[in-house]
Amino acid sequence: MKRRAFVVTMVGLALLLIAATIRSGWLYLVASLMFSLVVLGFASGWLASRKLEISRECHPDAFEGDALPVRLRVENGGRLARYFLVILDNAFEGKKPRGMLAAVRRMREEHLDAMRTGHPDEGSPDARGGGLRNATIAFERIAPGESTEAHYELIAPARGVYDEAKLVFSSGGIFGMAQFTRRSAVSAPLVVYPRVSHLEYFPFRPPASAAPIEALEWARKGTGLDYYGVREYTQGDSLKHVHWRSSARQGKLIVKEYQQEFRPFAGLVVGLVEPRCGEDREDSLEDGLRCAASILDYYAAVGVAPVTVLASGEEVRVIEEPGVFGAFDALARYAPLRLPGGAERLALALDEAQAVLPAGSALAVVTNADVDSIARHVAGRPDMEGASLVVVVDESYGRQWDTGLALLEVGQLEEAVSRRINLFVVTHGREIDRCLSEPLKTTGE
Amino acid sequence: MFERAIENYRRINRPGIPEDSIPFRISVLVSVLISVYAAVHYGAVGALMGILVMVGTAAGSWFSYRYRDRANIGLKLILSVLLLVVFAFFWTELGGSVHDLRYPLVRLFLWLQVLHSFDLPTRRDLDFSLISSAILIAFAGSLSISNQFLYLLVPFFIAALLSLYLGYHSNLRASADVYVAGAGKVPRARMALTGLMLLPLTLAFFVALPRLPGFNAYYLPVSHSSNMPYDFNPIIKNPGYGDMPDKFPTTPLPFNPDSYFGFNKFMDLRVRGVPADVTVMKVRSAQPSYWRSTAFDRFLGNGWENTDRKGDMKEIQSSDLPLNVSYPEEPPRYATKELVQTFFIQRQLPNTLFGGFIMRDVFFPTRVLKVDSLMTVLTPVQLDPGLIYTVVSEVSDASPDMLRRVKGGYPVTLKEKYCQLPEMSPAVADLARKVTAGETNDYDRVQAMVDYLKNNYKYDLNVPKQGNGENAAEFFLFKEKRGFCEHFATALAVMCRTQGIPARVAVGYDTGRYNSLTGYYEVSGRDAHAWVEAYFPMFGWVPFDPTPGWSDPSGLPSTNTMWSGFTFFKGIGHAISSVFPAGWRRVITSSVKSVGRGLGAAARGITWFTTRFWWLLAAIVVIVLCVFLVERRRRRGKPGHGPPPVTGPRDVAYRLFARMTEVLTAAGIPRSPSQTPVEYGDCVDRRLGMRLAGQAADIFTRARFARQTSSEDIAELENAVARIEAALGGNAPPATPG
Repeated sequence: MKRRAFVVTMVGLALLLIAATIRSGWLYLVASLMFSLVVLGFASGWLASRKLEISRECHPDAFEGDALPVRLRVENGGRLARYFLVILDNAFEGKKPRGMLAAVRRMREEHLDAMRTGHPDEGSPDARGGGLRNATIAFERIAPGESTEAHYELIAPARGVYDEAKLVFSSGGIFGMAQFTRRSAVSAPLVVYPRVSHLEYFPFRPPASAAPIEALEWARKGTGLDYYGVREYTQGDSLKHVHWRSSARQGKLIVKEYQQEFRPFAGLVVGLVEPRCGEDREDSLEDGLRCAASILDYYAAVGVAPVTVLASGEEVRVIEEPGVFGAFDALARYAPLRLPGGAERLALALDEAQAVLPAGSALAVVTNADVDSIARHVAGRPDMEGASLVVVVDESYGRQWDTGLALLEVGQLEEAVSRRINLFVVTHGREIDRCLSEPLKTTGE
Repeated sequence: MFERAIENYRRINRPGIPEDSIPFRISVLVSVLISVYAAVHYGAVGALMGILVMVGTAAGSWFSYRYRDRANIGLKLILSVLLLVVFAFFWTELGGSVHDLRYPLVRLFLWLQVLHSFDLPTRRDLDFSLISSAILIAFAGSLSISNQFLYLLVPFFIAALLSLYLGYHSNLRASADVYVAGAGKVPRARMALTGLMLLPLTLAFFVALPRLPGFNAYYLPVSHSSNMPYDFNPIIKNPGYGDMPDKFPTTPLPFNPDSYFGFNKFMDLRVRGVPADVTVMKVRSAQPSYWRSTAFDRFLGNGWENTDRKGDMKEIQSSDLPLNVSYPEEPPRYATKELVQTFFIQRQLPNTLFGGFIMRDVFFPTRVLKVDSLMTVLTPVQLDPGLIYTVVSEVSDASPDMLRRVKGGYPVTLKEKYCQLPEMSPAVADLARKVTAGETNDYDRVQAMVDYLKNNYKYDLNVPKQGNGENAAEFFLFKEKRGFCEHFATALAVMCRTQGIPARVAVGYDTGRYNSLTGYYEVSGRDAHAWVEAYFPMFGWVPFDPTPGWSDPSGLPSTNTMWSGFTFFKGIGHAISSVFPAGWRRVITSSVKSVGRGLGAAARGITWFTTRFWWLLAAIVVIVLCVFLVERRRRRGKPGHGPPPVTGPRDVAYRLFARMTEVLTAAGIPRSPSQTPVEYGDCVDRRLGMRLAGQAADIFTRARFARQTSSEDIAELENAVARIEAALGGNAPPATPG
């Protein structure tokens, strides 16, 4: 119940008690007016929320934390206009504790935090204009038989696949005294890929042989230096390659295309186990997937054809689709390896990669397994010579992460990994692009 | 640490988002000013102070708007100090007016409203101001004793509704992340319609809300007066009759329509006339009753006399309120209950207190009262308009069964005094004997005589005067067989006395008409009335009313007033029916009375059921609530039945175009790297002589860049690609090497 309705009802009851005491008919009348305002608020809210068709459209895919444009369309199928309809798009917020007690607890935490750090938390940034996990959309008036649209942006949530969006729509009639609320879920499929950190460089050795160019036009441009021609702009093209004259002439963006050279292949093996530490999707599994996505993004940027081998759940899966979005999709749906036995499955994935990749192809492995498993199943393999090994240290996401112990663990890792492997270590609190640009060990090539 | 605490304090008290909507502020100000005016109008403060308060409120509102975006810490400190001062004054006032809290409360809310008006930066503050103005106008209504309060209440609620709309509108604009504006016009029609819909709903609540009697505790208003004499001559002074002679007048008293002739030392039964129908007083009481003034013990044949003299009076003194009244020769009473009544005098009345019989605790602005053995309570001055006093009475709660157990045992002196009769024919005694034949106790005898008079005699104000020496009781009983309340009361009292039952005639006012809006009984001059009090040992004087068409005063205190809200329909009915001709009026009145009786019966049934089976109702409510909560939880947990996820249109369009390019390339029409998709499509159309490829390229381009693809577009693209495939299926030109 809206706070206003609650307050008015309480005041009405108080007036009623006083009226009974002093026998004043006018007080009964004022109390009656207050009660009827609340009842009318509910009734008009209920009427206003009927016969509404709501549809919600947004992009079917996005990266974590990206702005996600959403279009919400409401059609009034009733005979009367609808006023002050409020829709809460709660697609990604999830359940948050609400109510006075929760508010008091939040205030207490903010206060303690401010006293401890000296930096008061000013709260979440201004919701309008972006940065929203949920959005409140208010429609002032929807005429009968007509529809109205609202466009807004949400922040794409954590990696995963989302099937439906939860909407809460409410109306308090004209006066907003009390609100009638109805919940609904609309189909709004969304695949959220892991967040990509753009890498300036990631070591891989181009192979001696390469695959011929496919007939299909790829989303990414050719990697050569020789001018090839012009084509229409596609997502991902650099604005530096826009052919402005052609664009002005044709009225749409035209980019220069360069000769496609033979595209080298590179393999990416992902074997991430169930994390033991971390919370709220900040753990070694998610960071591992972000590393994998960043590496794939780099491969695509440099024109390398990626072959992704995922050891997940109970299976090993090879993704050879053209373009990286197939791999991104697989990463979005990735389920971690279960322990025990996760590291053995990682070894199987490496075997699979060897079978699929042309000889001499570059290889990158992303894992969060423990040092012993890595040493036993990964580091000692001959096919790992010249490869890049990205280890996400699971313990670093725990509350009791001790720097001293960390150094010890990393040292053990260094010893376990041979000199012929580029070793990258990712820990909690360090940005991924930094981790992947500062190898702990490098082959020097 | 200290700096952090200061910083944190500043953060907690940082100014909120100020409310910029001027129309909202103005509508709230109008509501507040109306409520302030109402409080001033009904005497919460004097006129000059009232003007100051209203100007202060308006100035405060302007100040709040002007400096709404500042922290105003200094101002808040000043207001806090002033608030403490106001509360101190309130507690002081409260101590001096324990029995009537309305004025101190109204003044408190008034000053709170003025102070608060200086600190209204945000919307929430304005909402609080609106709610407190509603409380203020409600309290102002409690001071009103007439229907004219409606002229303030209606504009207040119109302004308040407008404030609610504007506040809600402003709140949504500010709090919503996306606000989709409408046409920008105020929805006047919808507001008017919603406002009108409030009326029946409010009426339903008003009528149906039970008037619980249990809370009528000690709310005892009394007006202040400093001019009360300490001593006075204990005789009844009726403003309409001037100085009365010591003895019963030989000629009939002249009739004064503005004052009841019975409020005197004598009641002259030769007087004829119709009293004026003007409101003489308004009474706030938990239950209806007769408002008794005085009584007469000696029947003179053509009138009655109060034989108590100055020396028989008892003085009641107290330096503080209440004045606890006890009467000379007061007999013991059992089976009584308390009834609190407050009287608001509208016209000048004699110097006797009116109240439910018998008055025990009196809250009157005096230090002395005088009472007689007939239980008349005399005041030092006549009751002037504007006077307010409260009486706590002990009314009889004796049931008929209790009274039937009384069998004689009257004190001798009492019997001598109240069975006195002048010389008269035995016809009255014979009649009384005949009427009460077969009754075995005094209560049934009295009741039989009451019923006989009610059923066999007619109420008529136009009965001629009896002869000078004619006995009024005989004249009424045997000659005219019609008369007014004094005749009926006289007849009953005389008949009782002939049977040895002590009886006397009491005068006062009938209960009056209940106004459900104000909660008062409105007593008119025409409600002046006479009835009989008969004595029953152990139970004292019990009232009986033999006049047909009048309530039985003995039954009144037990009337259930919980559903007195329905009397509102009575008032509406009177107002409506007064428009129609007399014949229609009777039909309308009887129809409405029937409906009212039906509703009353239903309400009584509901009351009975609720009081007996409240546990059943509570159980039903709990069960319904549980079912509702479980069902809601179950619905929320259900997985959605939406369609399975599908890939977006972009990918589908992309794949279809790629398929088309493959097919065309295989057919010898490859795409040059310098060709855009649209150019390629046009080229294919020219080569193949059809318009499909260009159309497909358009859709593909839209899907890639403009992001406006719908399922219809995808279907169209699919169709175009299929047709191209079909067209090239048989006559494909040889593929050129890539």
